[in-house]
Amino acid sequence: MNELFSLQGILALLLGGLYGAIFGAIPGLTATLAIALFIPIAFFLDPSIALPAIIAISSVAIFAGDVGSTVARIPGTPASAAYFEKLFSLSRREGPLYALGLSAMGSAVGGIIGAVLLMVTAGVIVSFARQFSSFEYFWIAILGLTAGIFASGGSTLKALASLLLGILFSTVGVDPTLGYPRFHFGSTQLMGGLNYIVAMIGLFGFSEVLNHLFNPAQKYEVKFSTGGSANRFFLKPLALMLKKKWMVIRSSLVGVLVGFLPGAGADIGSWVSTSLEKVRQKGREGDENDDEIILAGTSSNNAAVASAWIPALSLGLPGDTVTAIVLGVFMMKGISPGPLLFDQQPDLITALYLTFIISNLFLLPFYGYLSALMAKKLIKTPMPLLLTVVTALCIVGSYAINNEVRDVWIMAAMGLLAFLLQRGGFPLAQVVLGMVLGPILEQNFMVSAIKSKWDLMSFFDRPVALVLMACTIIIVVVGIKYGKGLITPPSESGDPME
Amino acid sequence: MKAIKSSAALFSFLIIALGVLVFVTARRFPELPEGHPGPGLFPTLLGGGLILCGSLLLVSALWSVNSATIQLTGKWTPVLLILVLLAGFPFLVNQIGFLATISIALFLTGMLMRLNILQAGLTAVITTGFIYLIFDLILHVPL
Repeated sequence: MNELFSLQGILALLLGGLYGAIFGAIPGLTATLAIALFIPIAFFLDPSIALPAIIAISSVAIFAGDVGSTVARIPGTPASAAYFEKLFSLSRREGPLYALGLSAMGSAVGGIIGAVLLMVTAGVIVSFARQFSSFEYFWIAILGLTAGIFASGGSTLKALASLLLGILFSTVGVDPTLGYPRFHFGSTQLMGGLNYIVAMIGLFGFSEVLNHLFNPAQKYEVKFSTGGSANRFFLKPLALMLKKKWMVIRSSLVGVLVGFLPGAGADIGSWVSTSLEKVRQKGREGDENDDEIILAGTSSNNAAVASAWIPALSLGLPGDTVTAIVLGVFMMKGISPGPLLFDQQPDLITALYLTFIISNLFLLPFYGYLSALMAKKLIKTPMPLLLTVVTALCIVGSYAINNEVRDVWIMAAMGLLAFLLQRGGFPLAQVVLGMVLGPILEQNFMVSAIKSKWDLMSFFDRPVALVLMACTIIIVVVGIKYGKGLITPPSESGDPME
Repeated sequence: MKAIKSSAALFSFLIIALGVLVFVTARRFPELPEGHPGPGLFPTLLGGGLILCGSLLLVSALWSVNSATIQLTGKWTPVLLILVLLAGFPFLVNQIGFLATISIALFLTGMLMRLNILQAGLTAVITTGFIYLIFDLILHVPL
């Protein structure tokens, strides 16, 4: 924990927040992309420095996604696409400082509620998880995969196809249970499996480059006056939040609940909360309603950022793409997420909790105000220039992990796959979910089956396993009944049209 | 609408073809003693799942009124060119080294992104310098 308050730790937080603010503010550059491009650097850092930086990046980037919405009616991240039109019209009426102030304050409160629940519930889940055997972990993986399919919000079949592709990628290389090499095509490089981080850089980084080349972004004009003051950024939004405190708490809790589901995260949390608020306000029209809808969306997306870490830390299940990438880093560093992490790395866990509080209490308002002031300049950065730099980071990032130049091919192939999947309306988050949960599912199934001498009824014998199975069935039933209509997020590209 | 449907059908066929390939390959993996399933079990199930999923997508693409999520109209040439560029990247690295190769790759990427020659050149040089500073000098990654 001392590392967090060292010069390096404080610098990691400040620079991570600044990096997240810049990435989130530029349309097309998502929080996930920011994390994916940071991974090659994080890989060489001490986890106690890298993790706080990652948390600062994701917390600030999700907020900064609203800068593009405010300035140019272009959501910076899929999470901010849920309410970007309301934010844009508010910025025209009240100015960007108030609009972004509302977003930053809502994000900060939502993030703090999420962080507090992370601190309280992760420990409880860990003590519960200590009793888990391979049977329970198998059902946990099934639960996570099922939730991931229905959390996509789009076509369930396409989410399933993405998930199957992700699980298929996880089978490349030596089978972890039986030691048999699969799908390596004679390559010794593939024998060790598809490198997770290289795949992530391709899926989320290089695919953006291909998307831009395929369909260059249209030019847009920036027309707004930077009127207002710090009071409009801090005090007016805080006054509204106090007035609507129950709505903010409710939206944050919705964000926490959705963020907890593997594969959902801030994007879905924001869409669910905004949709719920719109449903609640049906029939009521007025400017104040816009403010409330924005508050609902911003508070829930940052609450979801924190709660996505609950299953990631306590069970090793990623709540969203950011935690999925971080779990990959954990594994490559030889750290096993799950109950043992709390015993083996208590300082790391404490530092993580503290980082969430610091990020939401100080970094968000600070970088929020800075972002509001810099918004006009940031939005003018030419996208071709940025994406040329992103290409460089993708190449060097994929090479640097193993010092293997042929990893550039894997990165490019994954980028092409992601680009094609996005063209077809297939979600990318489910590919990542499949890659993370695939090995957990297969290994625990095979171990359990061999342990029980292939008596498959033993999968239904244990009470916790039965509870997890029941939860899976509930998710399927609820997903089929309510899956479409209420939850309608955009694709990973952040394009609301997709 | 016809073009959209045929694109959706193409995606479905690709998924089915991948499923068949995985299924057939996985059936060749060895079994455990006493005939219990071995390392081929999961890939076989995945292959079957992809075939089923692709078939259902095909049916929904052919019968659905609205399949407007397929977007295949755009500029394919720059997409293909950057892929060719990256395909040749490892070969060029062996000849002239990483830093020289990445600066050339970035210059060409800048041109594909429609930057002018000066912008593309400057971006390539500055970014290569940044990569050298961060990865080679600070992180000690051998470039």
